[in-house]
Amino acid sequence: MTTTAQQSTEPLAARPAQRLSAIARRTLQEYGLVLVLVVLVAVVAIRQPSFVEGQSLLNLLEQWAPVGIMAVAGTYVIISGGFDFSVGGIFALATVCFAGFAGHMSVGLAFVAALGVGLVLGLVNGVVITKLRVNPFIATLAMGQIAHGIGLVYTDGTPFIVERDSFAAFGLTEIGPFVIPSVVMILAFLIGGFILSRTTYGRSIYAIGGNREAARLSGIKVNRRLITAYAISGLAAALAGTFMASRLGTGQADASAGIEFDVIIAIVLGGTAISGGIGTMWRTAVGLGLLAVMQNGFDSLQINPFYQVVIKGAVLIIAVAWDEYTRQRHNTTTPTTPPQPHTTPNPPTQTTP
Amino acid sequence: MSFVTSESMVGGPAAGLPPAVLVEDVVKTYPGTQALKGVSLSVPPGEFRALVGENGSGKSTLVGILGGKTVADPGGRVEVFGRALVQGNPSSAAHAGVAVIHQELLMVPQLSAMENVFLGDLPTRGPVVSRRQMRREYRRLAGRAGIDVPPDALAGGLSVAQQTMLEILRALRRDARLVVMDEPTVTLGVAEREKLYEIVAGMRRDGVTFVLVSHDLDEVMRLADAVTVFREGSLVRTAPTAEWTKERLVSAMLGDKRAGAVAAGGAFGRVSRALADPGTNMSGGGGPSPSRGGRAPLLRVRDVRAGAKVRVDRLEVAAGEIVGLAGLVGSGRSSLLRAIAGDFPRASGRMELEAVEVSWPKSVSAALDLGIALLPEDRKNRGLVLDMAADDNVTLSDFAAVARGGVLSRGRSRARAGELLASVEFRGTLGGAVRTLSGGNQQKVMVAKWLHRAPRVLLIDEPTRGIDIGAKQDIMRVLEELAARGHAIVWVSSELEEVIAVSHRVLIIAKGRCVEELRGQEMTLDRVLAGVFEADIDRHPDPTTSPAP
Repeated sequence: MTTTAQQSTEPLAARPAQRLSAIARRTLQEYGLVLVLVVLVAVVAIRQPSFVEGQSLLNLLEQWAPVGIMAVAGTYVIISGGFDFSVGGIFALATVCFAGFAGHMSVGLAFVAALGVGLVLGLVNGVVITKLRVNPFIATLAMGQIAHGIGLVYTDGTPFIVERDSFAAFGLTEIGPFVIPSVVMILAFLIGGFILSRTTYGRSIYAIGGNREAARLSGIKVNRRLITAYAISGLAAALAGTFMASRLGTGQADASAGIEFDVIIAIVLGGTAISGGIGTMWRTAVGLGLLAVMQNGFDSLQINPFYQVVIKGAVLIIAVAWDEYTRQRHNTTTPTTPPQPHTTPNPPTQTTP
Repeated sequence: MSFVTSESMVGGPAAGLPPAVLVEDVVKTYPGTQALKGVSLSVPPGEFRALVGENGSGKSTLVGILGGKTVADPGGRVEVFGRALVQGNPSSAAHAGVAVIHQELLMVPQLSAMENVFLGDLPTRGPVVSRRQMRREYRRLAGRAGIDVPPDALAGGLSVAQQTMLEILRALRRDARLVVMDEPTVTLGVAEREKLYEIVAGMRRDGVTFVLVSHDLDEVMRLADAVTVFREGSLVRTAPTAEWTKERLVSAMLGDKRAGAVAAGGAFGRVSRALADPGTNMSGGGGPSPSRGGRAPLLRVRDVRAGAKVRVDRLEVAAGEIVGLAGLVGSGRSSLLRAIAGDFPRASGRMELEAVEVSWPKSVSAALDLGIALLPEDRKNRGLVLDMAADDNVTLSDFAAVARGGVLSRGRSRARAGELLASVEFRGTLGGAVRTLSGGNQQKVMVAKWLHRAPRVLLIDEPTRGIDIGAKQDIMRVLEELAARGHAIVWVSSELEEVIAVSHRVLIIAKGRCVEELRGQEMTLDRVLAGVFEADIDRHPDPTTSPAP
């Protein structure tokens, strides 16, 4: 037992070639996703060099900013072991609220009010899931429907059109080469990543997703943390919605239908485990990158857009299956029978972010 | 292959019939330990045989082999009614007429009582399940056994006793000729036990053979025709029940460990002060125990009620004191700890900390705020975040202490965890996921986790289960150090020798009550075992004079 670590490392040290291959394997496992992204970009760039030109990349960033902002918050929810399917509905409702409120009040106030709606719905999600113990999938699926429905009632089915410049300014003002939504998304990834990996809040989220019972017995206020995560997710969806409304100049109750799928695909493609406890923010960013390149790159390669949808689904299944496969491989090496000695040499291959 | 030993001939085989159970030279090795060291026994058809022994003596392994759940090492022989048993194949065991009733009942809670009985072999007409036929057959079986569980009740809503009855119906349905029961009555009330005994008696009249594993020696003495005692993976002795007394059974289970244990208890135990009369201690919690050094105990709880079972009138522990709880599995030891730690729903009681009455903790975090922490028994499911690194698991108990303004300092976190882990003699890697650590190292991570938060009272449940001997000694040393640093410790272990060696006082828990308190020289293995098994050995003035077989 005392020698487990040495046993596993010594033979490796003795054979540098083997050690090197072990490191290579681990690196591939950890950063293979980045490699996939690079290869994909390279393939598209060779066939269509304009794809990697500055303006085209900036457009890509702007186009994917709403999904990115929601994916940052969604990463928290999924690492905590939960699920947020309501972001699509809240997103659409926020476009409606922002556009609708902007007709009665200042744009700034309308913006804050729209965010408030998202925050409240997110809070309700959190309370329903933790206090009423409704399964997160069902609770947020229902909340998505409710939000969508409220939007339909509010607009009576016809989009609100806003023609004030200050309304459009939210989404179109440029800071340096970037528009505001892109800047917000980049900041969200940076700050969100920092909070997730470096703060007490972030680490509690990992602990809750990894083992809720252990987290509770360690004195972590599990419900409070979870409610916060869902509230932030609702807020992020509303923020993304206001940017979308501003960019298009409309608020529409069925705006970007199905956007919640893109959010979840980005997170899961990045390797965040749907069972919770595992994942990092940079991986979500890479997952988002993959998704964006798949969609837009395939456009520029003139692949039939209907095929793209099929490919997106297939890639998602492959990504999750691959993840499960690698995870199972080291779980089965952990001893499970009751009288447990320490004879299983088990090199720590899994690094916690 | 050796010949059948004389043990296996006790009771004599019924004329012309092969024995119901024939086990020869069976060895079962788990990595690092031998659960069965060449056991041979035979049970004649129609007999009621009880298997007794301490935890880990090998009885349950044998039950597993008979039920087709466990595969013995190659070389031995296992026969049921004269036919070799295909090992590791539960359905083959069932086919051979063996029904095993495990302690953990195998019920599908969402299905009806009736469907659970016929599970896996539903009566059909063509391809369609015939509920009418099922109901008719259920009524017939239930009538025969005298069981009155309504056929359409959902199994999940039934009491444990009723579910046990369903297991018996399952055995009847399959015409089981050999019924193996592993601790069937631990969770049953008195009336329910009587009902079960009645049903068993009825089945015996039909010629069913029984093998019973039980810690309840009263039950064993009452039901069994013959008793086999196991100790450390070997069979000690089989004899007709008439030749046994409870005292002799305990002595046989204990073997030569008793002498050493007495010494260990004396060496570690505190100097006993004016001992309370054991007679008064017998009544639920005993009289007021003098606190150490005249100080009020750090923690005092009274009138603890948890679930239907736990009724503990009084428990106290002083700073620097280690109190051990000894009891059988299912006696309520763990529930008591969980209740005090705010981890048992709707538990109640009164609590004093340093003689100041505080409100009973309703949640784990409320208990932690009072400075009371629980180290749960189930490391993997309740104790650790398996995919997190060791250092993160340690600081989990109080992230704020290694953070500034909510931002964790990785350096401080590593340093703090490293220091604490070193102090508990942790020997694994700090950075890797704790999933990959040995059981002993995982346990040390859990202890270090609570050193980090440093609660005043530590409630520790089975810290030494499933870890190797070296790690066990480390853990016990750490417990003593913790006490020396002023923590108050209440802990549970099924290894009674450990409890005696490390604790300053031992409370005996049986059937949810605290039945006896032992301190100083009273803490001998004999007395603890006697208390735990509710045998009467302590009536004998000198334990060494109790008759040994």
